[in-house]
Amino acid sequence: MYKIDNASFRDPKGYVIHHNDNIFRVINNSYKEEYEHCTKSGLFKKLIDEGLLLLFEESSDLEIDSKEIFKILEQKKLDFISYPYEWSFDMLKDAALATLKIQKICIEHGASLKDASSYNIQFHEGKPVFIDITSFEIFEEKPWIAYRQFCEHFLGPLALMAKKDVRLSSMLVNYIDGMPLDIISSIVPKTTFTNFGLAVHLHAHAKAQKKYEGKKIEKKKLGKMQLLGIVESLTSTIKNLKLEQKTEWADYYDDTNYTPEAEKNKVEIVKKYINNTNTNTIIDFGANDGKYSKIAAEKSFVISVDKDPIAVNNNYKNQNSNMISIIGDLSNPIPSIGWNNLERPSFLERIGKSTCMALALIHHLRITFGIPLSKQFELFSKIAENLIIEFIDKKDSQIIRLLQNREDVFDDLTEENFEKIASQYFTILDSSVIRDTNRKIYLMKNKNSSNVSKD
Amino acid sequence: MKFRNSFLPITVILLIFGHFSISNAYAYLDPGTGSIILLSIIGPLVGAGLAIKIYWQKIKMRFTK
Repeated sequence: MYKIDNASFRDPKGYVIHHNDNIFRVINNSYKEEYEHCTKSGLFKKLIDEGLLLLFEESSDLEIDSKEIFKILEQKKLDFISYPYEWSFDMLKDAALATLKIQKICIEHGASLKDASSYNIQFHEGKPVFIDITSFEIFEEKPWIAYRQFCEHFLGPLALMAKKDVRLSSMLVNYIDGMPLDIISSIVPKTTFTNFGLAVHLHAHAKAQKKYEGKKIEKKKLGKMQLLGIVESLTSTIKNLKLEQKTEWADYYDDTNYTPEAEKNKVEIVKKYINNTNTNTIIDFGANDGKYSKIAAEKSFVISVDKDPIAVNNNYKNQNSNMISIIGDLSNPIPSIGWNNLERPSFLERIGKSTCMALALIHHLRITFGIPLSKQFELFSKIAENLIIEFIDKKDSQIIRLLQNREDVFDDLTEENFEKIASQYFTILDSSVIRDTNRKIYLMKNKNSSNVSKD
Repeated sequence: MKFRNSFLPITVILLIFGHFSISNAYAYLDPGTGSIILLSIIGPLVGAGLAIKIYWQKIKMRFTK
């Protein structure tokens, strides 16, 4: 049996199917001319060779009884599907530049993108790739139809993040079809009017949208050089947007209480425990700059999660190809959004069950976010086959710092209670005290799984 | 703040904004009419800019060879 993807219903030219844990794209007869043009002109090959389009091949593994179908393609399955509101600044920026590069190559091959949604981009081996095959149309001398969408999905949000506050990318959760430019235009500082690209593509664009809303216009012609000029102008505007803000956690690892010896010992313990797990994916919660994610990525594909957008950005810039770094907050995970609440599944739905690492995390969840250990383990038991988790005693200087202006109402935060609650859901396979610290790392196995071996 | 080479861009921006200065909004969805009109105005400008850039690069190449 096959299932049509919950987000695949807008484009009449084709749709996505899940079948036997593989991904297929159905191309309808109405897209035959465009598909053949993209193939014969060498556009698809060029984009795949440049690493800009996710690899696909024509398939005969799936049969669907429909006269509408022109071709069925099988596309490489990605390790993890992420969404723009989970990307850091440079991830969204790289995704924007990749979209513009694709549009430039399209124009050179007599085609154009009819769709420039950020949801058409995914991260594969650390780089942005375009995933939609039916987003291409044959070139015509007319204004770029996806210009508005590009500005609302990429340029506007990037301007907001760079010029106002990087944390505002979370607004993308509310605007699944791109952020309205008039909102962004009213939020960013007035100095952005002196930036030619932002003045035109953001501010004048917002004004033009308002002025001509609902009005009928005559079709205008735009030639190749003019459309390439637009792509060039957007590219230079986006390249010039840079992140120059700092957040609370950005320098966290420069501010820890580990001695070099303790840090070395922690790495050894984490490495040993990772090697005792055998899931395809490891999720590192509270990953910060991704130090332990990179160690885990030597063994499995890693989803490196942190709530701090700058830490995630630093992680992204230094990551290896076997991981993805995303913005996520375990105390308030990304919900399902879109039509029928099914179009873009929640974070927890997408991660399934794997090996989870929670290093130097649970005391923050407990003290800063007020989540009792019992609630924490309730969640871990749903998402973790194996759990590598660090317990930090109240004698630790970091906890003393967290408690300095708070009343200590966290009676459950004791080693004895931690082990007792953990044992309700997990079998504790091993534990090691980190040398010279009040910290202990545990390797646990979910009582409802059989996916880990102890050496 | 940098105002380097900003005279020409600011003049162009003022001309573009002059075009949209009368606000006349209707509260229903549109397919992006404003975006199409903006593209029709800036397309020739940035297209000419790109053509000059390419031409200039060719001249530079000839002299650096």
